[in-house]
Amino acid sequence: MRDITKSFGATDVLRGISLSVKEGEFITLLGSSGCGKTTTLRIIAGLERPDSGKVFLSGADVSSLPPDKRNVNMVFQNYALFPHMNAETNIGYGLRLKKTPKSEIKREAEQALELVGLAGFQKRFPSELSGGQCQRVAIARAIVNKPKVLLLDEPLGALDLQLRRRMQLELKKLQKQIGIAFIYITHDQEEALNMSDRIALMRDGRFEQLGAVGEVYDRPRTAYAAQFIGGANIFEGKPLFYSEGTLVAQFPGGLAAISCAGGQTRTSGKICAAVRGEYIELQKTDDESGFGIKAIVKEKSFAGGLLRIAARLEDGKEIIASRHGIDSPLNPGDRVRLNWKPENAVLLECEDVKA
Amino acid sequence: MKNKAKNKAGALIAVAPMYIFTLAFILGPLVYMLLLSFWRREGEWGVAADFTVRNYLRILEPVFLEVFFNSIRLALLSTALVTLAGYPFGYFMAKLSPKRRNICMVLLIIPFWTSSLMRLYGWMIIFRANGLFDGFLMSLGFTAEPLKLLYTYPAVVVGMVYALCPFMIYSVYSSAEKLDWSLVEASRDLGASPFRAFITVSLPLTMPGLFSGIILTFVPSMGLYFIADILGGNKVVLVGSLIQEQLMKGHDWPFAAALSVILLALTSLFLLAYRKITKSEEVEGLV
Repeated sequence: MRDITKSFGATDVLRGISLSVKEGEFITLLGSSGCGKTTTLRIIAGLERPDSGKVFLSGADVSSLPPDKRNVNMVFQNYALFPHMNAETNIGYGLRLKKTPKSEIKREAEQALELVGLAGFQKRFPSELSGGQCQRVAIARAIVNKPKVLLLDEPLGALDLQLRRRMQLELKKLQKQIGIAFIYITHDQEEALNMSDRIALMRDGRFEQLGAVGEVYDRPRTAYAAQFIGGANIFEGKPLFYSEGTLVAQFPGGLAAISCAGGQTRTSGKICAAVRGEYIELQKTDDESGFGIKAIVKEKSFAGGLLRIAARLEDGKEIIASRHGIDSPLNPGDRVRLNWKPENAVLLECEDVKA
Repeated sequence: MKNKAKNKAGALIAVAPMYIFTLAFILGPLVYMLLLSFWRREGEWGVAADFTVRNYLRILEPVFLEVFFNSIRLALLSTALVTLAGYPFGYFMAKLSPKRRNICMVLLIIPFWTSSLMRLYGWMIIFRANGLFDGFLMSLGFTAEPLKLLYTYPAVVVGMVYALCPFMIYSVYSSAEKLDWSLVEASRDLGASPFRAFITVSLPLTMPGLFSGIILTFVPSMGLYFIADILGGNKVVLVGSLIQEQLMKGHDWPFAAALSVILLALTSLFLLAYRKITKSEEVEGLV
C-alpha cells in the first residue's frame, strides 16, 4: 500500500478530511465519541459511501468498490465473530471465499492463532471464548487475509484495564511483526500515545491535528489538542515582551515565560499557553511580588500513581498540577505560586479555549 | 426447609388448572380417539367396543390412500411456496426502519381482524370466472377468455399460501430482527459478495426462525381443509375433509378416528424426520 487520500464534502459527520497512510504504519484516529472516527473507518472499508471524495489504495481508486473487492480488513468494535463457526472456521472464512485449498487454510489458521497467542483454540466457538480471546480471534481472522491496511475500531474498548494494557503492547508487537499498516480508532489518548506512529486527533468531523506522536504530545496546535492529549492546563494572558526566543506574558495573578521558537512576536491581543500538569511547579509563598502566577491550593488526590493538586487562579479558573509520589507538603488553602520552565509551555492557537 | 415445601405446594396449586385442563380436554379426547379407532361401527350413529383393525385396513384402499397422498403433496407444496414468499418478506422487514417495520406489522395483522372465512370468500370473488383476476388479465390482453381459476388446484394453493404466510413471516422476522448486522458487514469485509454473505451468515443465523416457520406452516397445512373445500370445490379432497365427511355425513366415527390417528402419526413422522435432517445439517459446511 502506498497511500490513502480521502476527502469528503459537506457532510455533518465528516467535513473534508484527508489522510495518507504509509506502508506498515500505525496511525491512530483519536477523538471523543461522535467525532466521525468510525465513519472514517467504515468509508475506508467500503461499508459506507462518502458523499464526495475518494479513497485510494496502492494508488488505485477504490471509492466505488464494495467492501469485498477491497484489500482492506476491519476488526469490529464488537468483534463480529460468526457465532455459528468455531475459531478455525471464523479465521478461515476469508480464505475459503478465495477458494484456498483446505490444508492451507488449516495451516494459516493455526499460524494466525499462534501469532495472537491462542494456539490450540481452533475448535472453540465464540461463545466459549472470553472477551480478550474473541478479540484475538477477530484480529487473526482479519490478518490471515493479508490486507494492505487493517482497520481497528476501538478493539480494546470492551476489555478491562489490565488486559487492555497487555493487548496494547501485543498489538503493537504484532503490527511490527506482520508489517501491515494499522488504522486504529480509540478515544483513549493513553492508548493512542502508547501504540501509534502518528496520531490524527479528530474533532467534529475534522482533523484537529495530525502528526507524529511526540509532536502531537509536545507541540499541540490548539487548546483542544492540548487538553485532549495529556490533559494540559490552558492559561490565557496578554503578551508583554520578547527576549531571546522567550515571551513573557501577563496572566491573571502574575507573570510567566513561554518559549516561542516558532517566532511569534505579537505584543497585542491575547495569547494562550498550554502547560502539562507534570511541568507545573508549585511553590508555597505569601510573597506578593515576584515571578509566577498566584493561586490557592484547593485539593489533593492520588490516582494512577500520580498525586494531583488542584489549584484556583485569581480569575477563578482551576488548574491541575501532578507529581510523582503519594503526598506533598502543600495543603488545601495554602497560597502558592505557579511556575514552569519556558520550554515546557506551548503557545496555542487561541480560538477555542474551553474552561 | 419448611418454607421450601410450602412454596412447592403453592406452585403445584398454581399449575394444577393447566394440568387438569390438558388432561381433560387434550389428552382425554386423544386417548378416546385412539380407542375409538379400534372399535366397530354399530347402527347409524353408534359404536361397539369390539377390538378391530378393520378401520385401519380400510385406509389402505386406493381411494383413501390417494386422499392422504394429495394432502401431503399440498402441504409440502404450500410450505415450499410459503417459505419462498415468507422468508424474504420477514428478512427484509427486519431491515426496515422501526417506523416502516411497525406499518408492515400492522398491515400484516389487520386481515386477522376479519374472519378467515370472509377472506376466503374474497378469494372466491377474485378467482371466479369473469371475476377480478380474469377481468384484470383480460383487460390487459394477457388472456382472451376467463381462466376460471376458482375450484382448481392452483386456487387452493394460493389460498393456503395466503393463509399461512404470516406465520412464516413472523417467525423469520423474529429471528432476523435479532441478527447482528455487523456480522454481515464483517463477512462482506472479509470478501463475501452480498449473496455469499447471505448464504454463509444471514441464512444460518436465521435458520431457527425458518425452521419454526416451516413447522408452523406444515403442521396446520396438513389439517386445513376448509380452504380446499371453499376454493377447490369437491375437486381437491384432503384428509381433513374426508374426516369431516365420515364424521358428519357418514356417521362412521371409528373410521374417522382411525383417519385422524393416521394423520396425527404422519404429521409427527414428518416433524421427526425434519428434526433429524436439520440437526445433522452441518451449517459451516455451507461456506
